[in-house]
Amino acid sequence: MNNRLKVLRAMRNWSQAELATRLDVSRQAVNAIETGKHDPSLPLAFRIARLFEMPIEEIFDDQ
Amino acid sequence: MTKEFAMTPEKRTKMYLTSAVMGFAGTVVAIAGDMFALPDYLRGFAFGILLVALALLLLRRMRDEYIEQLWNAGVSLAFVAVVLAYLFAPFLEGLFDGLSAAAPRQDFVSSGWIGPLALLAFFVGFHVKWLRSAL
Repeated sequence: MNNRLKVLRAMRNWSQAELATRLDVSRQAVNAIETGKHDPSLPLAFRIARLFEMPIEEIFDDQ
Repeated sequence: MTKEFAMTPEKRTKMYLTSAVMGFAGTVVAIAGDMFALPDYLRGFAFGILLVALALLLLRRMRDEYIEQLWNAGVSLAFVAVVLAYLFAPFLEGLFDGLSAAAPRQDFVSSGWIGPLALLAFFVGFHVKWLRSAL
């Protein structure tokens, strides 16, 4: 699944570690999501959407 | 407790991955110990490392999504390996015995090696998933 996580993170000048801390996941999880190697669970996807104050569909794209 | 000693998700994941590496090493040494009759203290140490690593991996597998994925990859490969070995190992041995005209008896008793095979397959699956997601 494609996502804009890396772009959104860069816009806020957050490192992967910082974003991971805010989402209460590991930095490896953030890296795996950004590189498309892992699709987040629904609760995590909602946490991401709430953190960036955007709908899930604007962050993740399944096409 | 000060902040620097707090168990962050990052530290938990590093501890988990370190345990997986140690468990893999312990498994390899334990299997080699049986195959090559290594000293008892070495085999005992390897089993100890393996048990501690497995306990940690089992108890902490749900702490992070990434960890859970690695765990699932390992467990899946271990299951497939066990099923294939259980179903096809006797067949393959029979095929080999037939082709080589060897004595028709069961040389490889699955109960003796399916456990180590499962552990080895688990760690292989775990590390392959880890490396693929890191690259």
